[in-house]
Amino acid sequence: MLIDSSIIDYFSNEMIFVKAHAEAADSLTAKNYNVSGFPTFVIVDSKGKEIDRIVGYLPADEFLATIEDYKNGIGTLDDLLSKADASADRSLYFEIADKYKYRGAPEDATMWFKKVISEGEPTDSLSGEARFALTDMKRRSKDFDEAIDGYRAIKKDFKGTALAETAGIYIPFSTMKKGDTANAIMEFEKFIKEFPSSVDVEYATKTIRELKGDTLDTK
Amino acid sequence: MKKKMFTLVMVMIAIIAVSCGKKADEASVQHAPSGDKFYYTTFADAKVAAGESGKAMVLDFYTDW
Repeated sequence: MLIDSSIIDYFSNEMIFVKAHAEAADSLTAKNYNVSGFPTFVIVDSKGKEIDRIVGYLPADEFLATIEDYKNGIGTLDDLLSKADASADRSLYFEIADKYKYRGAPEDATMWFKKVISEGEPTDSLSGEARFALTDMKRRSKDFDEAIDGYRAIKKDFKGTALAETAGIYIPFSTMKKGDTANAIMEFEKFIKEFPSSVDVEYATKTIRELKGDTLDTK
Repeated sequence: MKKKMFTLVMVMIAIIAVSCGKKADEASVQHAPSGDKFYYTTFADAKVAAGESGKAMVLDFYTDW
């Protein structure tokens, strides 16, 4: 809940603020705007046409500054697309891909993430982030086998980096979501051995206990 | 007789139209932010206000979890 006084002043005077319950009164609105993560703040014109969106929380001053920029067409998807025409900036391509991803436009997002990779080296850090984002999109669309292959490749290619560790925990997580409990347990145990000081060890340990508990119950 | 009936029907239509308009106004006032609240609680209400004022909107989508 936004309670900063600068936020209250701004939305009492400059714009209209709506708290829309995505699973109750405004579930259809959330679907129409392709909202899948929370919180998501969609900035629209007076007719409801999307200008851009903010996913996640920002500090109040940054939040208001971003909204003002978007209202003025600065940093919006349209703005970035117009800059991309005249630029070979891979970070810009990544930003565009991210915006498409959050708008629920996976084909456009994929195209721009692949552009990030193709115009760099497949194992540079930006390519790594793009490959991770593409793999994540596979997982979210429940394409678990492709996602698991993607995470494995990232873990191998970026060995020794934080990205490899993050990919590492998503292998057992995706295996679990696929419904393959036995292999999920094995992969979580493997993760704990490979990354014993990871912040995700606690989660992995807890999940193993829960999965084993479920497995015992079904015997 | 027909003329009187026609006049009566037109008057009734006018009364209904005015009372519906009043209800719509009361509805938009009823659901507007008031007191310490600075926000609308449904997109439908906010869209009416945005259309009237020409202001842009921020839709804060949330869930209970």
